[in-house]
Amino acid sequence: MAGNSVKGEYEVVVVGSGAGGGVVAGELAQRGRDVLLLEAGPHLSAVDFDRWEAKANHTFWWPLRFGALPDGDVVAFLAGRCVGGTTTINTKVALRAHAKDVAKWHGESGLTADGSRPFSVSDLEPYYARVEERLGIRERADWQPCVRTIERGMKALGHELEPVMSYTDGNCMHCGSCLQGCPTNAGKSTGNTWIADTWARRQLDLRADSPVERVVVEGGRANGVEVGGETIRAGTVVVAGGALNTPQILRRSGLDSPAIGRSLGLHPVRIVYGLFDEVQDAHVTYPISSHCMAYQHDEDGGFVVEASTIQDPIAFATTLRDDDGPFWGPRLVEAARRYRYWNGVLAMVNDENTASVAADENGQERFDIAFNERELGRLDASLEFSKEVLRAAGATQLAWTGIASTHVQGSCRMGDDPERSATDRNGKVHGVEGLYVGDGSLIPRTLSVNPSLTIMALALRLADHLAA
Amino acid sequence: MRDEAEYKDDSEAGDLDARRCRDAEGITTLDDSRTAKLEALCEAIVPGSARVGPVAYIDAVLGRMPPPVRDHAVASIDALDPARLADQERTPEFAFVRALAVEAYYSDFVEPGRDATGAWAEIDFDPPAARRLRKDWSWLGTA
Repeated sequence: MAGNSVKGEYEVVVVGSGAGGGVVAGELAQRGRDVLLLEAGPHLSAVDFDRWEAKANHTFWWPLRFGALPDGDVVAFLAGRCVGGTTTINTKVALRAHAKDVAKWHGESGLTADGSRPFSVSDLEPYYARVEERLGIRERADWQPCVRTIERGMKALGHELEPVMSYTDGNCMHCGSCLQGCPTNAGKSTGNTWIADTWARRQLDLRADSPVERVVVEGGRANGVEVGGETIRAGTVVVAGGALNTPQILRRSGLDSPAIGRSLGLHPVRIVYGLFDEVQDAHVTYPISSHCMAYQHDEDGGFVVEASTIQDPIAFATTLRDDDGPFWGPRLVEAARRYRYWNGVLAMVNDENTASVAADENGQERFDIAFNERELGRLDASLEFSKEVLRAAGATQLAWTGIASTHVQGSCRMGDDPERSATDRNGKVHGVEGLYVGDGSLIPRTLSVNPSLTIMALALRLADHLAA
Repeated sequence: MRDEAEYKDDSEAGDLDARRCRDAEGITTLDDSRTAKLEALCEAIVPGSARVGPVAYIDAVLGRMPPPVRDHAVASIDALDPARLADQERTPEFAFVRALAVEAYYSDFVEPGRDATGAWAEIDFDPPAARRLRKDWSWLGTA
């Protein structure tokens, strides 16, 4: 897609176009601000999205990144790298944070609403309402047979499977292509909402394929960004590259706060697969239409199970493992040949922001991950529960993935205490004027639900602050 | 369930095709000894995959990788012994090469010039959106 011509100076430059940056840029542009949105990946639209996993992985997903675990295993990080960021390739689950999750934030970083009382979910509610209205969220009770299979297992264990809320509209054809981009625009990304609307009206300047090297910080003030060898000046810079990239951009910009890159939350996830005697076709469905919230809170177990999905062939076959190790050889080929008979649930675990992201002496990104005993206990419990559900539903064989992270949060968290936070309560980087963080990095403690709605709500809050 | 002999038959036929295509198309990132070793590793990890020319896919993917990642991939190939994979299956090197071999096959790739069916037909991956695809692999650099 063609972009606007780009000037040398803007009122606001936003780095990253996902759930955070896309909302901030679109909102400010709609209110008449002079905004440039920079995105590292390509600018695509629904016509570019087809069911071709390999091409999507290599052209608009962030190159696969891994963090080593102490036991020799790895955590795989998955994210979008295109206009719309991960909202282009996610499953569009629209859940508000639970009050208990947000209540943890004050304890983590001293975050208050106004300098006096702890920040609470009520401070997010007006922004949630606006985001939900903008995205047209709806309940997804239109379950396919593969979801009914999982429901059968849940009921056998005395649990309920409930429909999720989702930012998908009635154009959803249950095609299962969400992770390769929505081909019907039923899935609402920031790319086809906030960004498309303002870009088409020439309210927003957009430059894709433009990874930012650093923010120009001079005399304690952000004055612009360096991108593609040139400097673009700006009165305000909002960094929203996602919780893995934003801290690296800030570090490359010369900022040395120890809070930058620390307290990374992974919201670790596994998909647990069950093989059934009947065709499941769990790849031709809206991938996450239901969930079991019985164990959502730490005191109840600390995990949420979503259903039903299996990944497309590469991701499915690459990730298969069980107690005997990774599938390979005839065992892998036989399992893959039963592709349509596998069904899966996704188990997401509450973590405690115990990881970090940094760059090594060669500038290569480095992740330090060592789950504590509580986190490991939740990972084990979520796996065992998921296996029980699938067995109760009639699965004859089980397999599961390693640990992945698609919901990174908290690596530049906001707070009132500069020792425990990278930004203030509005997202302004401590000690630097005109520099803001506008993505999931701000979340002081990992949520127990999919975070994109909360990231958008926080971005809307930041846009209001900057527009004031 | 297929028996081991069937897999072996697929493997031998695939190896011959692979040599022919490599000579015709050229491998740009891997040298000859690594190419041969990777062919053996792919066939051990995904039996029957040699018929589609997975090494051509992996070679192209390696060519797109940042140099440090590519170096790690090559080192991983060097570290593995196709005859001892059962002893190495829980190593990071095996995980890396396994991921490449699995992707090469289950991407539905068929090396240009080969008369072979891809993996999607084998696993019956045929949703409507995929059925409409006209795969042009030029983005990978192998067309």
